[in-house]
Amino acid sequence: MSSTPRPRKLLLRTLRAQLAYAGLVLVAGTFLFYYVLRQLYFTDVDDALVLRREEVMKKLPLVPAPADLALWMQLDRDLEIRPLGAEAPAPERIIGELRYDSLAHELEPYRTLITTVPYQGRPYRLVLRSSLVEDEDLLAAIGLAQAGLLVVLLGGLVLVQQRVARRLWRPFYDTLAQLRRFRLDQRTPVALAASSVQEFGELNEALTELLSKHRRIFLSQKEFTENAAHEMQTPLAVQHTKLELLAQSPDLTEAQARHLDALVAVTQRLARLNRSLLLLARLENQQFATDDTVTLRPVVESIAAQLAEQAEAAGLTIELALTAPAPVRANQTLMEILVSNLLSNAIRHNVAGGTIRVQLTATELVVENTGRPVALPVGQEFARFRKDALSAPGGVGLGLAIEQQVCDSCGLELAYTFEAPNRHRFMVRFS
Amino acid sequence: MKVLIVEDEAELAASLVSYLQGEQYRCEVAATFAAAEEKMLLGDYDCILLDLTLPGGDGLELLRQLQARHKADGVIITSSRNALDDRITGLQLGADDYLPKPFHLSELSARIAALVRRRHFNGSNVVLAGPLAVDLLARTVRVAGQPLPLTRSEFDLLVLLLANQRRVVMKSTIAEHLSGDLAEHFDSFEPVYTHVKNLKRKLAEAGAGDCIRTVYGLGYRFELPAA
Repeated sequence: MSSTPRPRKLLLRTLRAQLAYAGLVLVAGTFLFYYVLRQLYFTDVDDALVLRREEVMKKLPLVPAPADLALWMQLDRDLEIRPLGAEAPAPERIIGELRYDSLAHELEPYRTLITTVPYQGRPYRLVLRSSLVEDEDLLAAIGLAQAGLLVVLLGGLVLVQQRVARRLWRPFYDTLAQLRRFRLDQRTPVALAASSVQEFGELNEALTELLSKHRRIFLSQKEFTENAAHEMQTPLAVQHTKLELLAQSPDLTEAQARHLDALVAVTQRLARLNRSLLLLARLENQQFATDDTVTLRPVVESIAAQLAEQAEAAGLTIELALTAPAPVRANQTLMEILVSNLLSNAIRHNVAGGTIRVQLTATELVVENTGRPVALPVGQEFARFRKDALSAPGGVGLGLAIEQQVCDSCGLELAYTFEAPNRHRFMVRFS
Repeated sequence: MKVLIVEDEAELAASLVSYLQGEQYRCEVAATFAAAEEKMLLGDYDCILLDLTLPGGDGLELLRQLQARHKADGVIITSSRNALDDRITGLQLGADDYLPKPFHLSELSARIAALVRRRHFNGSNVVLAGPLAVDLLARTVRVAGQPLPLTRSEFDLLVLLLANQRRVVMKSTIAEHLSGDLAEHFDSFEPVYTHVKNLKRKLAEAGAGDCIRTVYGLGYRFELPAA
């Protein structure tokens, strides 16, 4: 949804927007202040020039001779009065101009009043000047004041965000933390604290309702799984026990025994299939807590030892290279199921005189076995009830699907590779 | 020995009764929560087989009641609710054992025998059968007083057969008894044949006679030769 690739905190986002806006207003304000102040200042200076002109016009008749005007001009550098030449008398005007200041040796801004005054019956041009405080100084002063203001304002904003906003948002983060901890299989329903902030109160209410609804669905699913187990397992148990009782008949014939043996075998197979399906259902419903720390080495060692007989019976050698204890965040039962599935598969799908190599490092468990000289079909390695030339007799076709599901629910990665001529390799990565 | 079978499936209860009566157990059956509760209160049983899913209530509740009266150690849970937490809860509540359905009668019989022995023959855990003396605690076997060294699997096999004397113990039961859940990955009974063969030979060599009979490839029966 968001166009930004990296998610940032909401607080940071609002703070950034607020800071940008405040900065913009302050910078614009600096210029605005400068122009308004300058305008006010000009008006002030212009008024003073007009007053001075009136004063000059009052004093002018006191000057005895036109030659004395030069002395006046020498005494007052901001005054200029000369006889109007050929040009026509212009109406009074005030302009801004830059003049070279011989004392400061630089161009200085001036406000200049130009008008025509009568002196001894002749028109004279009167020029009055008033030096302006330097623009740059004014701008700098305003800028400094504004910058100070900016720092105080922005600093204040950050503080407000950190103190007040953080406190305001605390219920949100509390809720978030609780959601993170939430597990469908937890015993108690989730209880989100009521909040004095209306939005958070509503959020918590909605979440509580959603979570409890999901928990109800989950529980009913679990119940269904259990019911399914009961419904299937009980008839199977009856069937099995009856077959066992039948086997006790004193006058059992050999032919009857053969039928009985086959019946026991399929009953066992049905039971096995049912158990596998239930395990898959439970894995898919995430009915296993997967936050125990399971040390894999003893698991592998014990299962390899238990399977040694089967391997021996099939004429296989098992090589173990367990170089790390390999603690994994998972579920003990599931890891035992995974390892026993991997190892029994390696035995079942092997060839006479073949080998099984089990490597355990801190990052992966690798089970490699000799087998048929054909790779498992890509993308279908972990499919259910796959029936092809590769499936061994007796298996229920769910072993690899279970391995995949176990890895999924524990956050482990399961991969399969084939190496010519006949090496099949299953890797479980847990780094 | 009195056994209470708490099981709502009538046919299964009948099978259990039929098999266990042959082992000289007196069996009573309770098919509902209420019936089980009443029988548990009135009677005293050496062993209670407890199904968890019962009409009228949860079997774990019955277990809690037994625990309050310190009688939970005689309980074997026989449930199809193979959920891990039920197993853990059950054992935490003091149940002695947990046998998921479907189970093998001969395995159940062996578990009951072990339980009864633990509760009633504290200290003397020796099973006697003809010239055989099997010490379950020390895991040693003597034939006519002479020690007979057996492997772990052979010993377990012998105990299973002894708990089901004169009965056919099916080879799939033996496979599961010896390697637990791992047995389900294999249809090959090669290891079972090997262990039975070795045990037979060792017993015969020690002078116990030919006491393990093969029943048409279906399973095996332990029977002391008529003297």
